[in-house]
Amino acid sequence: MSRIGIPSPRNTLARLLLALVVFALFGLIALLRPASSFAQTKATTEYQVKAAYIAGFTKFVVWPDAGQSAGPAGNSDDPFVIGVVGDDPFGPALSEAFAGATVNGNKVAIEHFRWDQDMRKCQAIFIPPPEHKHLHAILVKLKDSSVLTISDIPQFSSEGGMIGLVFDVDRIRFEINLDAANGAHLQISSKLLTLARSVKGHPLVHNAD
Amino acid sequence: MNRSAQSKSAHPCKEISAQKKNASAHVRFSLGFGKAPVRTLRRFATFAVALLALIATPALSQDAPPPDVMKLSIEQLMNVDVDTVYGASKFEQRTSQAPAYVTIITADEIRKYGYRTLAEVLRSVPGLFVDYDRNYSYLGIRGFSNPGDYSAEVLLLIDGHRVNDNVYDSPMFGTEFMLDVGLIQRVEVIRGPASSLYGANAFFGVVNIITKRGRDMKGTQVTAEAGSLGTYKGRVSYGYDPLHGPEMLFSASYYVSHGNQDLFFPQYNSPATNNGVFVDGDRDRYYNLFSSVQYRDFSFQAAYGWRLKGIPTGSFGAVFNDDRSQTVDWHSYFDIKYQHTFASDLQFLARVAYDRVGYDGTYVSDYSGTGIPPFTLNSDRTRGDWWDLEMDVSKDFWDKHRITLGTETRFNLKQDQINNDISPYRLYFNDPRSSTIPSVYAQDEYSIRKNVIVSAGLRYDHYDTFGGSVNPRVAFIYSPWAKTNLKMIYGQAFRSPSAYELRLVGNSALGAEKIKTSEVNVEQHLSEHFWLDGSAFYNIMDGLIVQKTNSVTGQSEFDNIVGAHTKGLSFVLAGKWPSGWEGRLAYTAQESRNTSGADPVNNAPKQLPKINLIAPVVPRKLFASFEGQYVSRRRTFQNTDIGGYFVSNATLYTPDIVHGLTLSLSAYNLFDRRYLNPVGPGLLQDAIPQDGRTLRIKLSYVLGREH
Repeated sequence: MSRIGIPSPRNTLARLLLALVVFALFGLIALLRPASSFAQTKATTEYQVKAAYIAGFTKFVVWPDAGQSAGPAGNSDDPFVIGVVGDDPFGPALSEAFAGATVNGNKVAIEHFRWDQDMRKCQAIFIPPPEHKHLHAILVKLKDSSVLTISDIPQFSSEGGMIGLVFDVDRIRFEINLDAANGAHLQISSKLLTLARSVKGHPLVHNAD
Repeated sequence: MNRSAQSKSAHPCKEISAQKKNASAHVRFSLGFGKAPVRTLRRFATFAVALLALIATPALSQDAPPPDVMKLSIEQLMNVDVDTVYGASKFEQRTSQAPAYVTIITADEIRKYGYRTLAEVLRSVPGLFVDYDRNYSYLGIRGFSNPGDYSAEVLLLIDGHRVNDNVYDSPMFGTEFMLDVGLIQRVEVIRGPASSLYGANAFFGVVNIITKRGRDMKGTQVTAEAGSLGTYKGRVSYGYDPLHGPEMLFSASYYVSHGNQDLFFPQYNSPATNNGVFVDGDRDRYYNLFSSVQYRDFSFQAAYGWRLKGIPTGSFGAVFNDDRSQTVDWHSYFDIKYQHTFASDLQFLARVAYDRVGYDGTYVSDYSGTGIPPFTLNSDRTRGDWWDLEMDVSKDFWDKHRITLGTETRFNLKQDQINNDISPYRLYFNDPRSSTIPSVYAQDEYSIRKNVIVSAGLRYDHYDTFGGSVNPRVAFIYSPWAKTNLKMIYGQAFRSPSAYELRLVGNSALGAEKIKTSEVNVEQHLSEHFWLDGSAFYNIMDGLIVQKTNSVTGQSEFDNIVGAHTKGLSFVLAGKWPSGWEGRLAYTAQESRNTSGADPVNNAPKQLPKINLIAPVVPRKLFASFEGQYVSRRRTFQNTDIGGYFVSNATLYTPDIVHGLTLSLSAYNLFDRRYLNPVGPGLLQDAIPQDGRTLRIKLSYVLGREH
């Protein structure tokens, strides 16, 4: 036979107060320390896959002046620059995706930018979700350049981005805005277009200049 | 699901032996015990794990080869599963950001460890344990399990669809689970109270099964298995995943096993009951069908499971060694879901589902009490069906808040319980019920900073029987350094009394069981492929519904009479390397006591260490796995003690030995340990012996399209 014991009010109050103090302490530490991106713990994380995608995309896109700057493999002056706007969510993944790889014979360099900096030296940029509020400004600044814009901001391709990475349940797929790519004189291989979940816009009939 | 012995006490000539046993222990549940051994063990465990981590880290922080994912083509990347969990917040999110302690078991692990049922999958999860009474399997989480509750304190979902039936509120884990384990894409075990999102039964946690889709089944797959105890199983599945068009999966499975043909129970060891040997009563047979179609924003799923199990234990007073006693359970449902993301990143979900369940128990009964045939067959049945409507919206505000609002209503059209003798016909009870359970819930995930999230949620469920229940959950998730993740969670959950319990209520109306859980989790990445998880939790339970015998009427009845506290600590050291090596070392220690501090907790193992290991014997071609679980000593519901035991399993797995053919060989209970599992009320036995070593060979062949 047992009955439900009634916990003494003082005990509960003390426990509650202790919990609140601990919580407040953690909260203060959390809010006062410099922020960093979330720990990527388990294997095959989201950003490893996204980094691999970016490396893959570079094989299906042709930049204007691509023929001119390529020299013998690995010997050109200008590296292929990939820019990451704001806080880098990739950790080591993006450099690993391009480890030892070249694009059009050029070595790959990864650089970081703030949203309001000039990114036109890049061949491709990645805009992570926290930069959503600056998206419009970033795209406007890149208007007459040939920079491939990639992002995992929701609805990126509808808002003028070129390749948007989206979740499909537990897999990552991509959407292409061909009009945006054409506007930047970038040619996207039809192979990539068939794999895309959706393609917005139409291919150009004539060659890019 | 199970028979209420109570029906029989109304019969003048009968006193079920099981009830006689139970009468002495009035209350099913008594709690509380000594602290010292657990404390020492806990300290030792912490030290051991810390030491292991220290030793392991230098060796493993060398540069590992680049992850395979970096070598994949675009087409291959499209099929990589990213480690996310859906069930913790009802939207896909990273497990590190989910407001709960989550463990994921993948289809790959299910293949490599040779899991035959969902119960075997769950047995390997840190902090969980499964008991089997040779009829159904029961799940314990964080050292707490009351088989008499039929695991109603865990909510089982298939792709978010509730599987717990509506009479016993019971999920099904063993061969009685309606989905073939080969159709499981991943199992999300979400520990901790989740009633703030799911309502009733998410008391100790939620198990959400994500099923395979057309994309995961490469064309047509045929599998055939043969194993000890006359076990055979076959499955045929077909998956279709066009780039533009409906994605489809269809599957059918059949399983049969004659089980243990000679089971010995010392409690029946007398000449009148065949000297304790039950012959041929352990048969098990099931078949199930599954289909799923996804097209654009629509998902459709339909499933059917039917399972027959012989009862070889003489439960609920059935005549011992008469193999006509059996239970048949079935469950069928269809589920239609519409999900769409609108332009402003507003995610909308609407779901409508319909379920039908049934249970048919046949119990051979000896009313004369003489042990001389003829005996009467008693039929114990439940029939239930329900509709479930759900609607959910979720939106990001100012890049900071992700707010989810939802409503769900369950219309239980039928929750009927009937019991009668077949011939001569005699009705004991016919109890039809129905109910409507509306609910609303809301959750806000507030990203205060890039690495700090505060999640708060609340749900209100209304029940005609006891009124409403409001259940909140608050979580604070913080990543102070790149390799560390910290979660602090507080939540409340409830379990509404089931239709079965409501039929046998005591003097006062039955209210809901309540639990308040506080927990802290730390996840520390030790190297790129190796991590450590630590968790401390504290549960306060109130109003636990317990079965006892009314001293006046002699009838069994249910009442909310028990309160308990549980404190526990859990460590998991895990690694997963691109070479194919994978392993996990887990240790959970817990301590429960009742609020009045009297007797020990029943069926609460103090320690649950586990080990899991997959080794690539020939990289990508041949894998060997080993897993073991130890369950420490525990007290049964008849206040006897059963010893602790260590059970291990091993599997050899070769995918693609010949083009499209996969082979696996498994040994379960590798060292042939003799061990017992405690059982709930209704049995003369306090614990049931489990199977010795069993073997299985499985062949799988894929025809048709390649990926």
